[in-house]
Amino acid sequence: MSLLSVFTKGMWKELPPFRLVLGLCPTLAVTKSAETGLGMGLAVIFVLACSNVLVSSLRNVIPRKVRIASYMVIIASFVVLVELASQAYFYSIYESLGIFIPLIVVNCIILGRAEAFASRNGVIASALDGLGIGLGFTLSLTVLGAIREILGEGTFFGAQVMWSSFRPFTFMVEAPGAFICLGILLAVMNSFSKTQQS
Amino acid sequence: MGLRSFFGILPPKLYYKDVSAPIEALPVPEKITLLWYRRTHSDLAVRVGTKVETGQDLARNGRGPFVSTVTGRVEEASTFLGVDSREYLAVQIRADQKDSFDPSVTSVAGLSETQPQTLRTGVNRAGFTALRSIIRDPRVWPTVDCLIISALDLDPFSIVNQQTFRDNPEQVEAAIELLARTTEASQCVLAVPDNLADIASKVSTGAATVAMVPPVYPNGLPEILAKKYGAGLLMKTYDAGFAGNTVVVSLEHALAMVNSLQSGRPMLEKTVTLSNGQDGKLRNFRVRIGTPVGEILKRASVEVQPKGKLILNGIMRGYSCFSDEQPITATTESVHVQSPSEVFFFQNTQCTNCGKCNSICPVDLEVNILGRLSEYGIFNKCRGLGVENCIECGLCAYVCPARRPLVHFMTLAKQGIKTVTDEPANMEEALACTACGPSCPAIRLFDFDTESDKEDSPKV
Amino acid sequence: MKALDITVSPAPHCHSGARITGVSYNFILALIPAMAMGAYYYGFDAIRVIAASIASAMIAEALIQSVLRRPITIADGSAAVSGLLLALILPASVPLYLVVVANFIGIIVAKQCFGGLGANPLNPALVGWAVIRITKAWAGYLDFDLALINYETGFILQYPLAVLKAEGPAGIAHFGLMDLFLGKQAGGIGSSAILCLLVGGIYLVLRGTIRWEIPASFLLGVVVIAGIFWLRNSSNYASPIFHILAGNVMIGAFFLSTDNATSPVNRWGMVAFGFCCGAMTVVLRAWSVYPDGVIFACLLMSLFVPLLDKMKKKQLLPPAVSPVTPQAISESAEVRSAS
Repeated sequence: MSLLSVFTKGMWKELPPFRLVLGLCPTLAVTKSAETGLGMGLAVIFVLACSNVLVSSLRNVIPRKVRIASYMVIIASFVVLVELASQAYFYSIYESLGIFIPLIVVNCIILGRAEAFASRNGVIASALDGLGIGLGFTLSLTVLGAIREILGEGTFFGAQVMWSSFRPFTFMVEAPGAFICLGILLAVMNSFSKTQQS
Repeated sequence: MGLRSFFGILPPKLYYKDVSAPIEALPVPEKITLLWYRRTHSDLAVRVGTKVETGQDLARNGRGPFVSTVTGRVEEASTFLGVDSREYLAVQIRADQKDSFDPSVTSVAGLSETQPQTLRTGVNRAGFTALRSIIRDPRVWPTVDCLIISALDLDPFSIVNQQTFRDNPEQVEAAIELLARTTEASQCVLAVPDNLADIASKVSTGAATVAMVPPVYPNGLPEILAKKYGAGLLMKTYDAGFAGNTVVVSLEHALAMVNSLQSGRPMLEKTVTLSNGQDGKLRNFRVRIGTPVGEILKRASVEVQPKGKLILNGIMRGYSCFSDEQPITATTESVHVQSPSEVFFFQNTQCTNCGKCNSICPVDLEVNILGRLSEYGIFNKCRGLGVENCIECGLCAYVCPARRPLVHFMTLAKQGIKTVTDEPANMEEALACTACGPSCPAIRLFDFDTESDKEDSPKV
Repeated sequence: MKALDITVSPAPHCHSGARITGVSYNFILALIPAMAMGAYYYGFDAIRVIAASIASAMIAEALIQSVLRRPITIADGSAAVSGLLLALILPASVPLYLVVVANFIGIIVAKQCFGGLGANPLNPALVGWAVIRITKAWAGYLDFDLALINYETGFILQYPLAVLKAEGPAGIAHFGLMDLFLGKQAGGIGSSAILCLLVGGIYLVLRGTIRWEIPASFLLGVVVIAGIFWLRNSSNYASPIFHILAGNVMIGAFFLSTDNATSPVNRWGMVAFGFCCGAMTVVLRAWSVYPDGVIFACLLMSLFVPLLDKMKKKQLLPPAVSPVTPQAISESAEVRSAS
């Protein structure tokens, strides 16, 4: 597998929430707006890339039996970094993401990449894999957040995009709206890839 | 068709016809066809060209005789596949007009003092294969708790038993007495439709109690009669069959059985009702068993139009045939002719869950769920919901607004349970295993044949 | 055998003549009096909402079925019925885009995504209503007190249940029970016409389109639970008669809860379903933030339908392996032949 395909597979073939259907909890919870989706995605990119690099470089040192615990420690350290940084510099996003930043530790995408890719591949490939998957995750979250924000609030990254008399369809930013929106996007993507195959 | 209530607080009702039609006898046709389900170790005793006599057993090693109903020459013996995917043997005989009886056919002497065992042997020897569908197993003869002689018909468009009761009320008592003695039933019931109450009041019924049955389909079906007036539901397993066994015999067969015991001659003739959708007129014909349906149609000058339907054994439970050469068997009750405009087609729509099938099902099955499970081939779950208790009365499909072929789904599930499940579905299945062939004690000792239930209702 | 040119098909060979369309058109027929009542009181606005709702429901169904490449079945009338039911529980002044959105979500998400007619776990009309009800910016359109402020109908245009919620039983003294019964109350286009709905519902029961168990036990549930509340503390809770005559109870009992796909099919299941719907209605009216609870009660109970369908006497099943052994048969046969 070439390094380019390692990087790009996260964009479509292994797009985390839609193709792998992993990391659904933050996907549903933090996509009330495009901004929070993007913020969450960036945090995940950072954590994923860094933890992948570290796990990959330590992969011959970590004993097999305690590897999950070791990955956890690595991931948690980066999450703490992200949390403190966002608290210091992007306080509004930190506020709106709330508990979901600390919960990146248990995000199955990150642990999954560490276990499935970084612990078996070299440092550069792991870094590219982390960046690619993280970018795909960020894209998905931003698109989902944008759809929900435009319909539910009438804004896009906080800017008014709908006409002035638009009464926002706030159902979309409620919890059921997240499920329905995700389900429809998933169905569209599945049917799209099905037609692509045939 | 049947009556449909406009105000549907009550489900639509199918009433049995309350009409009388004299029984017209048809002469022996030129050629008759006898159907036989061939078992593993039996074979035809005759060849093409052999001359046969009336009452002669055409089979060798058969379980129960395969009786020729005419005197004549065997013209053809060919196999054909029934809709139950079993191979039948059709024996065609060119019939002489005059009967000469086989010498082995003798009457049972001293009928009134005879032991039940002898009577049973007599009934079996007379070839009452027709009754095997009703009396459980003719050789094992389970303890019979209740004997029901039914003057009701199996289908709303059949009046055979009704007419027999109208014509021969005086023979009923003898039939009850003899059959009660033969089956050793502890309880005996004569089931009569409500509309014949005045005739029933004049009949002396001896040991039997008279049950007045509302003439609404499916009250005439043996399973329903057994459930309502007998010792319980006839279950499709030997388990319940032995626990509380009810035997239901139609009046026509009961009288024929008595006649056979008295004269020693097997049942040669069968009465069938001919009806058609256009004028709704019912006519009764008595024909030799094996007569092609076409002979009856010709006599009644009824024609099956192209794209129309020719239905044997009733519109609710019967089967449509593809040819007018289909023979009348000992269990054929009626012939119904539909014009192309009356032919009804099922549709491939999904269930809307309205529950009409559930509320009309006489054996309380969850038809809506069973239909869906069967459609997708989940037969084990069908078994858990009791699909084997289905009596295929056809009412669920009759009322279904989505017009789903529900009866077809039920049959599919039953068939599927038999073939799909790993362990044998029940004792019948276990005994039907022929892996060990003649060395198996179960088959050798008891001549136990699970197919006897279906032997005489070939569906083509 | 030579084959004739005739039809061969499985049994039975006749049919009662019932059709899916019959069910739908009976529903529409039974709702005509309530529609007429709405049109009489609210004029063109009511007709506008009804027409838009039916049209958008049918368009949504045709659209999604053509996208999913399923046979297009708008002619069976089930989409029209759900559109009509949605219109009848909305106020006459509701903007049309809201009706369209509700119908599209109801038909596409709640009905066709689950497999279409008969496979939907929730009533599409109710899902559509619930979606706009929990959308904060739109919920105001469903507030009858605000929505009907511009109409002149000759009776008090205060939503009785909202008054009950705000002021308790003391506030509802000026609503005459007879007026409520005759439909002279603020409410949805059709859901306030209690008498018309009752007539239509009884027609449906007699016609066999719906089973009587659900409406009867629904009303019984309302009466019993409201009666318990009322007998315990009549100064805080309204009487059972008021609960039956106000709001959506009548349309809920006869038309919303009896939807074929979202109600049980066995008798005791239906009774339990109806009773729980009625009980839940009163509980929601008494303790929730919403003035009326019928629709949420129906939605909630619909989720229990697979469970309620199990309330049925178990079939006597044939045994997996029969206890009758060949030995037992041989012994019994010997005993009989010896006797």
